[in-house]
Amino acid sequence: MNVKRRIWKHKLVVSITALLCLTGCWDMIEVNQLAIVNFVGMDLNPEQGGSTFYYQIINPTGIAAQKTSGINAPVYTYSIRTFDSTENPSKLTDGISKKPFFDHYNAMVVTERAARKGLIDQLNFLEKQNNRQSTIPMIITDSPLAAIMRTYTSLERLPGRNARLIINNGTYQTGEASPRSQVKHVVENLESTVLTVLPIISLSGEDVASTDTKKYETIDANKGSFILKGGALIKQGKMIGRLKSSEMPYYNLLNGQIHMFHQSVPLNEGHVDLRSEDFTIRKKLVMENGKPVLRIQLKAEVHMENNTQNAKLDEANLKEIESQLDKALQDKCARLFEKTKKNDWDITGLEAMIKQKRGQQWAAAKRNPESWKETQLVLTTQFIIQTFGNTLDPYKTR
Amino acid sequence: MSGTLKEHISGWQFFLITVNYSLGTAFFIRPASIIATTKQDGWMIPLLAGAFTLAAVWIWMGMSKVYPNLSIVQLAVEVAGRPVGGLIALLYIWYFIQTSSWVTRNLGDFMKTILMPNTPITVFHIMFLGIACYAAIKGIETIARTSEILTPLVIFVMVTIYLCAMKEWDWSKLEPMFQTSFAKLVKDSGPVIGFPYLETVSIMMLAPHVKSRLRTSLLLGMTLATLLLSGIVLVTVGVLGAPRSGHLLYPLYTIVKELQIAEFIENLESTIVIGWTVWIFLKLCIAYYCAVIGICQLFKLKNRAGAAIPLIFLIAGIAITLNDNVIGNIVWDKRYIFQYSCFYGMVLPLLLWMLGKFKKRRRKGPAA
Amino acid sequence: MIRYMLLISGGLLIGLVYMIGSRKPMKEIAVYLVLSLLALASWFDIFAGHLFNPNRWIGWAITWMGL
Repeated sequence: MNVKRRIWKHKLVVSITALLCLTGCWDMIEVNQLAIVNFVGMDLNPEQGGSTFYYQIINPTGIAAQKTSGINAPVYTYSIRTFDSTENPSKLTDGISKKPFFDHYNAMVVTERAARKGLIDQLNFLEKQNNRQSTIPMIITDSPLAAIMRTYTSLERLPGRNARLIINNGTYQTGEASPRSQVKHVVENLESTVLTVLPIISLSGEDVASTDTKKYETIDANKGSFILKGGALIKQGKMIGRLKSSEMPYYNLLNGQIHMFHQSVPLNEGHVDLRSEDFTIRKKLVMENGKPVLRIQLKAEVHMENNTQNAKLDEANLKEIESQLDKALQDKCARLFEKTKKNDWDITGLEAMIKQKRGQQWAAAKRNPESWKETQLVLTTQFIIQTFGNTLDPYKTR
Repeated sequence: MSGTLKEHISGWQFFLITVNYSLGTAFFIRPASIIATTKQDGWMIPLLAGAFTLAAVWIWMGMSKVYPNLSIVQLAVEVAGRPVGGLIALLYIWYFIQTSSWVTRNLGDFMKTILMPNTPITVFHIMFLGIACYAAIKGIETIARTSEILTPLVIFVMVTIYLCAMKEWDWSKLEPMFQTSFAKLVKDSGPVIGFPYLETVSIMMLAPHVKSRLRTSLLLGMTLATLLLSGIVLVTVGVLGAPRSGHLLYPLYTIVKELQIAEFIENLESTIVIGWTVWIFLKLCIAYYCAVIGICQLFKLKNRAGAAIPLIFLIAGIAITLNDNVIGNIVWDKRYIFQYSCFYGMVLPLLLWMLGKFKKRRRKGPAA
Repeated sequence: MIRYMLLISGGLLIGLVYMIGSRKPMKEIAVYLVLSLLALASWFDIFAGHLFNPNRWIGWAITWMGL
């Protein structure tokens, strides 16, 4: 009797527990019913007003390993037009047969003209959504958005991921993209005067013959693929200017966020190509003789990639290489610093730094909003040349 | 575990230790600098240097015979008294630490340049020193047995690979032979005498542990090291040619990189790197052990661990401080290594030998 | 930089505490301490920008002796 009762009790407890687990089903997600968004594009319509949104939705069979039949498209691009500046969910579901799933999208691209008008509405909208990642890169493009969104990319076939990887390469291999170019970085700086520099991606090649799976059958990957083309300066959600690709490493350097940096210095009727990495950068704003001075101390390990100079490598020669590298850096950084000051672009965040200062000597500077333009740049460097590659001195034919 | 407890190694083990210690790093590093200075006649340099080393070995043997049961550090304290002898002992301990740092840095430079450029150099150093420290705490018998197992393997791999490289051999690359004057040969062999030959004085720290045939093992070990070093220079010149190998930082590595056996065995460079790291490991273990045992003997410590563990960080630090890059090392090596090694390999041993003899005679004197 | 220094000193400190805890001879602890301090000094020097270079000093000494 007792035993039977106990079994009953157990059955009841187990059933109730199982039932309680079912409460999770209210938020059930069926993978087959999802339209997984990979890449989002946004443009403003200059004539009619309102905006156009593009969504690339992953085609699962298109990215799986393909054995038979032709090559499928890895993504399908949908576009919708809305009259307000943010997206409209009812319009989106009009044409998509599955439930849009935004949690895992890889990148967001905005046209230059939209960025120049200001992205504040879109950013406010994005921040409100709980299913959007804010750690994805925000990209600016100067190519027609429709073309960008209909481009088949090679090697990495998901265009969103492709763009993201290109930016990663730019950050870690060449310094041509800023590591602080995600949505959250733009949002962070919305209410301050600090600039965010977003990567600019364009389509390479004039004839865009890449909106066709035939693209995968041609060997020329240069035609109609994404290419990193410098940085867009965003101030309070609005694009105010752009930096060239060649200026980007120095921008990153001045902000202490560079990972790798290539520089060639002329020396002894030849040149030495150097790769610097492992940077330690200290940035400090001080007041000297009534003028703000931005002191940047830079320390890096240098590796020699090429050497065509006539002189033999010895300690004196290494010193000379270091001083030439220092000179090249000083020169380029100073030029960028002056140019951006002239254009009213506060790329090193000086205004915000001055605002944070305390004490009497900063009082005057704090009152004057233009005081950051009087800042002088003082850059000190310390390089340690570490490796030379396989050979020491170059081969000579003379 | 005890530093004073007697450990024994056999003559054969001491022979292997001699070979490992003198070739461990030199086998890879020396050919480049030898060929850069002496071109195709470079293979004569190790022979010349080896001959000069006989004189040094004679001094070392004389020194070790005065008090056969004492290592250099103990001998210095014994014959020169606590203050002066202690200073000499400290100098030797510093030398062992410095040698360990050199070995460590050589390895780090190689790995960073050739194999794993993104790993911080100190990581290689600490990893290697960690194992060397463990070996040093375990004692010389362990190190000797390790080298007994590993050395034949390493030498076999090296010899096989370089024999395979011989199909690229070209006698004409050695032409014109015997063009270098004797004076230049002597001058060029200076740094080679310093490193690796006189550096080998460190293993005299182990002499009291050797049960038998100390002199034979030492001489045979030096001879084999000389022949191998000379042989590898010859192979390098014959395969790569003097002009090319003079430009390369690690010509032996390049030989292996370009090696093709039967059209389908290629890219053997990792094999050679494993072989070389094993060799460096053996050399580092010995140098590290010498440093640890030197400290233990000087301060009469029983336990080696207390001295061995902080040495990891000290040696890793000095390895970074010694020079900024390979160029600094090469320049220093060319200019100072001979004088510096002579001080430790010839001057101090000679001084200790003489002092020891003098002291023994004086002690005998009144008794007789 | 500071982090590495703290890491190294932390490791060495653990060793010191262990040695004191297991009642090792005073001499051993002293040698351990001195070597640890030397190691820390060498690392501090590296982070401070290579002021001390034994090889350079040895070079000076040999040049000074005229060899």
